[in-house]
Amino acid sequence: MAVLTVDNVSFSYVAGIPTLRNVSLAVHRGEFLTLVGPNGSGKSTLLKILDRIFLPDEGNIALDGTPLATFTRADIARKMAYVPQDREGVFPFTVEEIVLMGRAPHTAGMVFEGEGDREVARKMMGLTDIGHLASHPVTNLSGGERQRAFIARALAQQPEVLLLDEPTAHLDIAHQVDIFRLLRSLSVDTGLTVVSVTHDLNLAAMYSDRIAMLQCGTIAAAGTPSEVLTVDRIRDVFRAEVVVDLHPAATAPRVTVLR
Amino acid sequence: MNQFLPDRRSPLTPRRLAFILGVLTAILASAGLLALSVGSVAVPFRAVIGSCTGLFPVDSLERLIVIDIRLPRVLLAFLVGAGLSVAGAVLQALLRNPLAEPYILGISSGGTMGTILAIALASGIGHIVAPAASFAGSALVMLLVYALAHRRGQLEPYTLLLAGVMVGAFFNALVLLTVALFNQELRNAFLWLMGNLSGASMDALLIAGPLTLLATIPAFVFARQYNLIATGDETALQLGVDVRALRRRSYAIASIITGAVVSVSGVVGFVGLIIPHVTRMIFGPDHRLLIPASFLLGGTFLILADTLARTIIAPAEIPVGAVTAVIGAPVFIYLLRRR
Repeated sequence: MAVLTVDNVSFSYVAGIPTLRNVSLAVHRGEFLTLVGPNGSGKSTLLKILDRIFLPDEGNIALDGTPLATFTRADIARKMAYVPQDREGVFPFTVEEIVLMGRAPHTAGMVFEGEGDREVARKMMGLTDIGHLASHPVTNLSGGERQRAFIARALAQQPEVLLLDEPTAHLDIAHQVDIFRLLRSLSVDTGLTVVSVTHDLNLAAMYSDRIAMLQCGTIAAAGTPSEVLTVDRIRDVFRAEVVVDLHPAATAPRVTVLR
Repeated sequence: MNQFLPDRRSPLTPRRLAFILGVLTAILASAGLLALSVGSVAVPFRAVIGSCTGLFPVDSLERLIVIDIRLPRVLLAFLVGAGLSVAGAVLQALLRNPLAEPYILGISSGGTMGTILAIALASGIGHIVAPAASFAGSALVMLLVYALAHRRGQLEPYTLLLAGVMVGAFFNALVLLTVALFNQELRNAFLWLMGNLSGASMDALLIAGPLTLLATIPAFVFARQYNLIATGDETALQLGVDVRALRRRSYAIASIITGAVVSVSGVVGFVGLIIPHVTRMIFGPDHRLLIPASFLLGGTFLILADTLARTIIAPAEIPVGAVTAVIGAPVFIYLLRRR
């Protein structure tokens, strides 16, 4: 069953230069979907349209079968969380303060979070392995630690759908794998629907249920990793020569760049 | 005290908020008491308290000095310091820039232009003409800057900043031109440019007081949303904040406070920049504490600065803006170097 339906969506930042053209896509409940594609292919834009940060010029988005346009901003925040690519960290909020902010959609109209909210925040800091940094200002953390703090904040929203824009961009390989494993287990164990933009085709292949590959604002292919990640398609979309074989320790395709 | 320092801090609780604001209120009251007591004639604390509360009988001269002469000025200093600090804290959150301050939107230059014109064209002006002209100038600049910064139905922070700086520069040039043309009033104009509370009167308070205090109430109400917007527009939006409306309302709040304050005090520098900054360093960036604490600390700071301004070379006095700059600039440079 589809939790999010994208129906014939088009969007342009500048009139006459479409960023997305007639995109249609269904995101199934509980699945882990990755969006891949070259720079400028419209991945991040699509993600922002899914969270109604941008409104599509044409077409419709539906969340649980209801048009997204009819939700209030707070309703969306209780159902979907979005982790943007750039997070600004000029002010020294502590990790725990940042994660507690994720409770805002559930505590609207209140001045303070309650004990239950703190419990949720602690749990999410544990899941993202930043519990030991709770009282540290985010401005003193490494890029990867800060990234995990913002993922913990999105989890503290207790959303049905989690949208992430390159969640592993600043992470070392161990923490890249940790984040993807965490997203995978949340999706399998709790039924969380995950949509993540990534540039790492191999992580996408290993951990996601489906991959949607974007090319110049359209969906070039969507399906299981082995259906989408083929030599010809990667040559066509990324203009890269690759070999695709089987991952030695997993039942996933493995992409190796030749030139 | 360790738990209040920003380096290792647990999230804000109602108890801690109440405790800190209680302490800051006590400090504010002490500063007020001191300011009412010292001056060209020293009035004992007991007489000050008696004059304000009527708890014990007081000499009528002492009562006159405390209530009619010093109280309006102390209240004005509090109002100006508290208002500028809240406006500064709000703008720093919205622009996500700890160097933002109330005058960055160009409003003070409009207020100055209005006052200078009033001084130049109507010598011997009353208590009402100059503040009214100043507020009109501030309002003009506010509308101009907003009109320039409005694009596709929303206020863009960087366009707003640039518009504020440019309109500010333009009006500052007009101010200099006017001062050059009417140079017999140069001294008054310079006092204004430096910030000056010597014109304090109940009339000034009645104009600026309600306006400033009413405009600070929404700043307290929006405190939680400022926490969210301080970590990014998109994250605030995705957490359910109506970012456009918050921006529009908050710029209006900051503009009204700044316009009101400038109309009765001129351009008192550094308070709106330093106080929120220092408050954040002491108590952390949570706006539920930062905004009320800046309000109290800003008021306290300006009461003390103005007490210094009117006593240091008594019976003459120096503009309070000179005191805040002389204290504020080195403190700020120290803080910047320490980071």
